[in-house]
Amino acid sequence: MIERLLLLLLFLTGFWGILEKKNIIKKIFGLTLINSAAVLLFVIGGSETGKHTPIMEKGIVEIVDPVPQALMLTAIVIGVCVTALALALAYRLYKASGSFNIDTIRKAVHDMPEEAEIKAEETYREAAEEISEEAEQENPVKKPQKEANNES
Amino acid sequence: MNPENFVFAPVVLPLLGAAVIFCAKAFLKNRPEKVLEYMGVFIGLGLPWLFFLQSLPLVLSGGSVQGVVGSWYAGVGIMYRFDGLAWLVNILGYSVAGAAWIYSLSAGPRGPSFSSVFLIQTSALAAAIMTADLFNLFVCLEVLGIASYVLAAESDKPGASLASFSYLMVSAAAMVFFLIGLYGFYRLTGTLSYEGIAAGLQALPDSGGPAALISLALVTAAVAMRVAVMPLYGWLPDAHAMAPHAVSAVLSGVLIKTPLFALSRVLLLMPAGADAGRLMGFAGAATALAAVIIALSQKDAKRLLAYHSISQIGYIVSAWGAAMYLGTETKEGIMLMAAAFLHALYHALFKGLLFLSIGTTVDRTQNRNIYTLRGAAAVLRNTGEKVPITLITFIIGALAISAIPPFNGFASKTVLTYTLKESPHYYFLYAASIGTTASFIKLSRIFWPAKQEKGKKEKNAGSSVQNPWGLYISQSFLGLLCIIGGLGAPAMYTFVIDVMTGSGGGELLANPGSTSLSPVLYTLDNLLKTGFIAIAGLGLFFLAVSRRGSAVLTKIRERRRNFHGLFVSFALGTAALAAWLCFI
Amino acid sequence: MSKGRKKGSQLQTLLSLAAVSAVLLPVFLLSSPWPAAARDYLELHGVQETGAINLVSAIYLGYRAFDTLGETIVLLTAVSGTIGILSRAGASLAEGYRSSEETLSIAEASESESASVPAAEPDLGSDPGEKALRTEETHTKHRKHKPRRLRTHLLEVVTGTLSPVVLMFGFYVMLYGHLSPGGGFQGGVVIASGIVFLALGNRKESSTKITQASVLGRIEAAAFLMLILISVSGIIQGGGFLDNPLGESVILPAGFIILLNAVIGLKVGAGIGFMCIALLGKENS
Repeated sequence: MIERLLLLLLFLTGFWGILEKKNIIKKIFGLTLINSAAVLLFVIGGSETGKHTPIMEKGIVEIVDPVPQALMLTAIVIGVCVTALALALAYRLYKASGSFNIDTIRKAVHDMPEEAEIKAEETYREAAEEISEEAEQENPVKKPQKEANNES
Repeated sequence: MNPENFVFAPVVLPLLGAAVIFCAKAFLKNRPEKVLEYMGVFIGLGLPWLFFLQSLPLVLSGGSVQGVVGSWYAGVGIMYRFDGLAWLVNILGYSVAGAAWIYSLSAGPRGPSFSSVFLIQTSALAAAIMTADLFNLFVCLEVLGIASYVLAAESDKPGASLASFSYLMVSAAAMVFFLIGLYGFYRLTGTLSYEGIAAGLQALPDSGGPAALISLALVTAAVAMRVAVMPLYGWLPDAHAMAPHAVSAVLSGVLIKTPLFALSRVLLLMPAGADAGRLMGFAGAATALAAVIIALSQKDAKRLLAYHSISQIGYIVSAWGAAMYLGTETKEGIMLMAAAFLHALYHALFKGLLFLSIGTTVDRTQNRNIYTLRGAAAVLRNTGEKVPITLITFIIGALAISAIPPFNGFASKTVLTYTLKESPHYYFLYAASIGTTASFIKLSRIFWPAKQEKGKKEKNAGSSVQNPWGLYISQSFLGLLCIIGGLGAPAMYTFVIDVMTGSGGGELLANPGSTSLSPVLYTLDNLLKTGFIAIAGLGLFFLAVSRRGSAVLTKIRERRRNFHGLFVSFALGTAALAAWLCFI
Repeated sequence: MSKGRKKGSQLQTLLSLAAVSAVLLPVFLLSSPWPAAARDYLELHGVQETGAINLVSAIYLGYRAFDTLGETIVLLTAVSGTIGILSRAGASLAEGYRSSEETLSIAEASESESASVPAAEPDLGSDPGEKALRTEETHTKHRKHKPRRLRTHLLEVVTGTLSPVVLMFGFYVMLYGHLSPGGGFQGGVVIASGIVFLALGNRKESSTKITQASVLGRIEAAAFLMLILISVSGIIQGGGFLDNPLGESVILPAGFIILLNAVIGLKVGAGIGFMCIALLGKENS
């Protein structure tokens, strides 16, 4: 009972982090926390039934329920993938706005007037092309590298 | 060759296509890569149609294929069920996805990465509607989610990343709630299949008590978040408005509806599902009206469309919720469900069409602000569009969404409101129709000729697209479907009911005293109502552009929206649903 | 943000936390006994039906292999999406990890060129994750940083020596997943770290192909194609999706699980390795 109360506390901590923290990296931490709370809840629940790991070597009886473990394996990997994607997006937002603060980001992204935004994009792209062209001229070895970037 | 062996074709073929594209990307270059990419897309989006044709007799005869994936023991394995509903939702998904992919050939995003993620998304749609296992539904929704976060962030604008990030955070958090609901169900019943859970709950005293109800609330709220019903809609406008146009079409047309119909499988079996559906129905009716008011206030063309998606999903959810309440065994229930699906299908077509044609327009004119953009028709003509396909298709879409006969929106909205006639939803939906008309009059102003002083700017603006045939093919395809769907609506409605219920539905309708659709559709009463809606819409439009009206709308548009609010509304919405289930 | 607004948002937070805890408390504290039907069944029949002694693997790749397929696809999408987003954000992704002087010289050359651009970028040197991903281009400014040498001889020697061991362990975890804790995913992740070790410990004259992003991408794509083909191969035998195509083998009863473990392990190893190598960037060289 007490461990499940603690898990609820863990969950609430994570949820509080998502809500109240301004830093988006901390928000992602919060997401990871609530995900862990759910995973632990399953695994702890499944372990109530038995004593031994569900590896059926000779003489093993009274195993714990393997189903929640298998399910949570899937849930963990999915959680990791979502976190990776969220961090990549956070990086991109940082690049665009220079901050991890959600309010600053929102202001930087949304209050940018439309035309100025397009213009900024264009100048950025032109400059990036220029630079990569220069780099190519200087060193042809870099070329495949650039292609790989475009592909991915 | 019987269809039983191939029921996973709509799931596996897109995956196979995606795998082929990944291999093409890794091993080949230039032309062979392109050829293999198109082949992969053909495998993924074309070949499943063969299966749909082949399985049509099966679903029409009311048959279904069900079993356990890999033919394992049902207590642990994953149950699936392919029936009429799954067939219909697959048709919806594949037709819009095909058109959107063709559009993306011309307007971007292009490339193997996009195509493969797009195919994966389509595959997950098919899997989500077919599964009969709660944990598998979780996995399918996660695949769907991660594919759509990636696709929504496909645009170059940083705003797209923020939208995708908000969408990711709130929907990933919602999926954790889903997981906890799943825990409740598993702890109570020991199984994961829908039927097993329903049977297990019924065997428990008091059907599992509050814990079971709360678990149901958690699962339902998480799915409702994906569907974007009020108050859980906050993530949608940004994500849909910022995504590339082809992706917007699929997100709005298909992605928000599939979870809804997948959820109906759960709710129809659960003891408390009817009540959950009922509350969602009320929320849907409120959504339809509230979202349209916000839509009327928008200045960004695509954001306006995104708010209309929320409003239209409100229509669908209100009929769907009423169907959940009545159950699909009753005649009214099946009619409501069919109406909900018909509107979902038709909305997918006309909203896909609108997103694509508006997308083309804003790309060409490089302006998304509907207050400043004028004379778009001229720009389209200047940039090489001899036959004004985009203009025509936009008009078709706008008339369809405003429910003007003979387009498909008229048919499905009439059916929907007709089936909801006796419930309070009706008035909400009626008011929402007026708002829809008004806001599309507002949107179509972008095609009105420009005033003199703006003529100068026009010449500079406008960039032509190379290879625009993809735009035209996909837009005309969807436009044609809108018209055909409108003209053939009575037959379509009967067909939907037939497929949904097997032969039983046809009998239900043929029974003496039951109403078939065709006499309902073009009655004087309905036409008068449509006329009234059009006139009231015009009136509302003038009200909205008047000084006071636009001040109010600006206030609505500039209302505070933030990340925080997404989660607060999700938490409170979930709690409200749980309280509703426990205390009513 | 004004004070009143902040207070309002805190109030909202409190309210939603209260709502969440009220909703979740009954579920978290459910006291009904854990259902044992599935466990009892698996205890009796699990090994016999799947051939795997490790029952978690038996469920993961046998009874509920479809979930695992979905999970693999989530990973695949996440990897390609992450790389796409990062490259769009202007991160310099590495094609292969080499401590080459070429990249150094490019960076130096363009640094001298663009030295006139004022350095206005906020400094975040304290954040190691940021440092690793630091790129030469920001959104508005195009300034090249002098690459930092994060590698030391210590790191080179240790990772270079450990990498074969880690790789070997990864393959062990992957292939023995049906007998002991482990499996394709876990083994794959260990293999990926082995690949990263190999890359870090790699002297420039002794480069192996396995640390090149393109090679890893190929392995990943091929393994994914193979996984899909395996999952439908049961249909050819007259069965359904994800049916065991190998039938009941006497010698190797867990054959199908081992096969799936190996393919998934390769896919995950190559995929995560690919992502890590790409993210190492050329900055660290």
